[in-house]
Amino acid sequence: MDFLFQGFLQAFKLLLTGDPETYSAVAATVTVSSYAMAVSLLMGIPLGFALGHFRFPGRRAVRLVVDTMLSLPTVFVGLMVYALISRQGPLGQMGLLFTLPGIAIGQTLLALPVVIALGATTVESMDANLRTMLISLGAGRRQLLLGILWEARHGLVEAGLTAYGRVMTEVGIAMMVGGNIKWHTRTITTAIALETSKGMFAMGIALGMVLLLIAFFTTSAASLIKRK
Amino acid sequence: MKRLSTIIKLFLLMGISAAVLATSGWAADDNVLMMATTTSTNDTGLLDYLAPHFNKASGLELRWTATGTGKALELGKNCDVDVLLVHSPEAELKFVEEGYGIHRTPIMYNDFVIIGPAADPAGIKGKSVAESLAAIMAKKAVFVSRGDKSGTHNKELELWKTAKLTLPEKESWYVQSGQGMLATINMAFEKKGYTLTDRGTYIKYEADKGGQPPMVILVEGDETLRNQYSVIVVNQKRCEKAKSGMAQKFAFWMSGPQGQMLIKEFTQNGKQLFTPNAK
Amino acid sequence: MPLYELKNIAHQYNGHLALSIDHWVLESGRITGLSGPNGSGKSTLLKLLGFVERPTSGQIFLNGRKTVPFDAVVRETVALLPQATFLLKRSVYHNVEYGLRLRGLSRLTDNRVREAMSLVGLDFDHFAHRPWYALSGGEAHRVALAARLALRPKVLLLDEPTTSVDAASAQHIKSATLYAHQQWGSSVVIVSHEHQWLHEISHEILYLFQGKLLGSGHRTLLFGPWLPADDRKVYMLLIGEQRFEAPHPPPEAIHQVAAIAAIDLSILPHDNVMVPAPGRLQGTLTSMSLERITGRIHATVGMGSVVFHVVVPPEIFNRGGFTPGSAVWISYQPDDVVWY
Repeated sequence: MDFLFQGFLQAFKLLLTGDPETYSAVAATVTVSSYAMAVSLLMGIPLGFALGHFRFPGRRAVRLVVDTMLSLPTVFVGLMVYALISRQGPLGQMGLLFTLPGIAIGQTLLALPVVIALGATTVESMDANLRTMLISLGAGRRQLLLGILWEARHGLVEAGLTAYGRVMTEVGIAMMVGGNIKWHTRTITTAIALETSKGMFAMGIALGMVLLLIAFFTTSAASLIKRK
Repeated sequence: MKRLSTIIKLFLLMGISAAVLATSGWAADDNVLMMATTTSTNDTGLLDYLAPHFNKASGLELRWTATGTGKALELGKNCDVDVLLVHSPEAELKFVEEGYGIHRTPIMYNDFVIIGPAADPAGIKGKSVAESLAAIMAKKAVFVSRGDKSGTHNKELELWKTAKLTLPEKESWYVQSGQGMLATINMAFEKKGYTLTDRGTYIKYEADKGGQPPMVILVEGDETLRNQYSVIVVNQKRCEKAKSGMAQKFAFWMSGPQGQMLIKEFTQNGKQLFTPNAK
Repeated sequence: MPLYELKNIAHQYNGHLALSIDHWVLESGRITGLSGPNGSGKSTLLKLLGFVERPTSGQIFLNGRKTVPFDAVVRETVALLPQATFLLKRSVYHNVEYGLRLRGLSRLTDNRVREAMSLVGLDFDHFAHRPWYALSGGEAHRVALAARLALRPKVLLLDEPTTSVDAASAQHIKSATLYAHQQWGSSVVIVSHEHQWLHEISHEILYLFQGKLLGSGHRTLLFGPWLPADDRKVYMLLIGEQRFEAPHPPPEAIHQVAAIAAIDLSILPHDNVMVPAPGRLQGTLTSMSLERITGRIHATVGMGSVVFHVVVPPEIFNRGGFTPGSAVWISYQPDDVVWY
C-alpha cells in the first residue's frame, strides 16, 4: 500500500512544480463549480427562502419533490443533461456537450435541490418569534425579509457548503457530459477516475489531496462569513 | 398581493442571473474536431502524441473523449462527435451499413493477448486461443472480462464463439469488470485470473510496472487475435452539425504517410505499440 | 375618536377559531388589562392589535382608519412585547437600537437607548456591550422591553411581561410600564395572570373566554362536572358537600362552562340565612387587592379547587371581619350564571 504515501508526496510535487495537467484540471474544477454554485445560490436561496417562509397551496408537494431530488444519482443527472444537450437533443443547437458550461448545468441540477431544501429547512427552523419580533419593532416587508435572511445566514452558508461538496466531488456528470477531454473538460474528479482506471493509484490519491486542498480554502473563506 | 409581487421579483432576478451565466462563454470553436475513441488509444498515450502533429499539419485541434467502443459508436449515432477511432470491425460495419458513418478507414492494428499470472494455474502457456479458453473453463480458473461492449469485449465474445464454447456468463469464475482495460488488468491481477487485452495497453502496463509485470503474456500470435483500428467519419447526411470535412482530413492524415510513420515510431519502453496498415 | 375599533373579527389557526369579536372599542390614553384562562385568545387579540397577524376576517380601525399589517401608521404607533423573549444575536445596545434603526430614527439612537435602558433598570455602562447570551432570563426580557420603550410608542402592548422573570425584573418592568403611560401618554394593553398588578394599574380589565370578549370585570369559571338537580337545574359539587346550582345550560353552551361575574357575587363575613340555601356558599378568604381606579376591593374566595372572584364594595369592607384565612360566605342568584 505504499501508493498512499507516494500519493501524498506526489500531491505536493504536482502543486509545487506547477504541473500543467494538474493545474488545468484544477482550473476546470474551479470554473465549473463556480458556475454551478453561482447559479444554485442565486436561484436556490430565494427559492429556498420562499419555500421555507411562505405558506402556499402545494407547498408540501413541492417540498417532497425537492427533498427527493436530494437523492439524484450523479450519473443519472449526467444522462439527463446529455439527452438534453446532445446535438440530437432539444438544446443541441447550443453546442454545450463536452464543454465546461455543459457540466455546470448538470452540477447546478445537483446543487440546486440541496440549496433549496437546506435553505428552506433553515428558514423554517428560524424561531417563529423572530418574525413577531421584527414586525413588532416596526419592520416593513423588505426589512422583515432581509432581517430573517440575515439571521438565517449561518444555515444558508452551511447549505451552500453542502451543495459545494456535492458539486466538487461528483464524477458522473463531469464524465458523461464533459467527456474527460484533456486540457478542456478534465476535472480533478474525472482525472482521478482516469488515473485509477489506468492503475495509477498514487496519482489518483495525489489528485484527491489537491481537491481536498481546494475544498479547504473554500470552506475557510465561507467560515469567515459565518463568523461575522 | 404584495407578497406575490415579491416572489415574482425574486423569480425575475433569478431568471436574469441564470440567463447571464448561460450566455457567457458559450461560443463553440470552429476548428475543433471532436472524436470519440476507445480507452486504449488514450491510455497508451498515442493520441497525446499524435494530436500536436495533426494540429501542425492541418491547423485543426483534435479533442477526444475516451470510452468503450460501444459508447463511442453511440456518441456517433447521436451526432455528438465528428469522427471515431475504434476497434470493433463487426460493430463498425453495422454502424456504416446503417448510414451513421462513412469512409471507414483501417489505420493500424495491434494484437490481443491473453495474459495471466506467471504461475499460470490453468496451464495455457503456448496453447492456441481455443485450447486456452477450454482449459480455463475446465479448471474454472478466474477470467476477467471487460463486459462493457468495448472493442476488446466484442473480440473476447468472438473468441468464445470461434472456439465453439458457450459464453460462461453466469459462472462464478467468469468476472465482468465493466471498467477500462488497465482497471480490468489490475482486477485480474488481484483475482489471480486471466484476461484478454490489447498489446498496446499491456505494453503500457508493463512500462508502468517498471518492466517487471506480475501479469505475463501467455497466449499470442494467433490469427484470430488481430486487433484492427479504424477511423470512421460521422455521416453529415444524418448529422447536420457534424464536421465531416474536417473528419475526412483527419482520416486522410492518419492513413497518409505522416500519420502512418508516426504510428510506427510510437514506442513505449522501446516497444512498438501499433502497426500501421492503411492501404 | 377611539384608539382601536374592531369589527366582525374572526381569527383562525388551522381552522380552529381562536378569537371572535363582533364589535369592540378601545379608548385612547388608558391602561387596559386582559384577563382570562389559557387559550382564551388574549395573546391572539394582542397580536391583532399589534398588527403582527392579519385577522382571518373582519376589520381593525386604528385612530379611525382601517389598518392592516405593515401599514406605515402601525410602524410609527404600535410596539408589541411578545411573551417569549427573543433577542437578536447581538449586543444589548444593538438589540435596543434595532427598532430605531428599522424606523430610520438613527439620529436619536444613543439618547433613546440610554433612556430605555435606565427605565428598565439596566445600567448602561454595565450592560450596553454585553452579548445576548450573557443575560439572565429577566435581564433579557428587560432588554426586549427596552427595545420597545426606545421607540416611545403611542401604543404599548405587553404579553405576560412579568411571567417567568425574577422579582427585581418584574418590578422594573412594572415601573417602566407606568412611566410610559404617565410620561408619554402611551396607551397600554397588558395581558397578565398577575391579578394584583392588573387591578393596581388598569383603568379597565377585560375578560376573555374561549375566544370571546366577555366584557369588563372578573369572572369565576366553573367547569363542572355538572349533575342534574331537577328538571330545570344542574349543580356542581364543591368542597364540604356544597352545591353550586345553576339553571340548565342552553344547547348553544357547547363548552358546558358556567361563569359568574365578580360583581354578581356578594360576600359577608358571616352566614346570611336570608338568602335561600343553594345560593349560599362557605369558603376561605384567600386574597384581597385594591382596584386603584374604582377604589373597590377585589377578593378571592377559595373553595377547594375553585376560586371565586368577588368584588367587595368599600362600605361592606369597612365594617370589618375580612381577614385573609378567615371563613366567609358568598351568595349569588342562580339566574346570574351565564353559560358558555
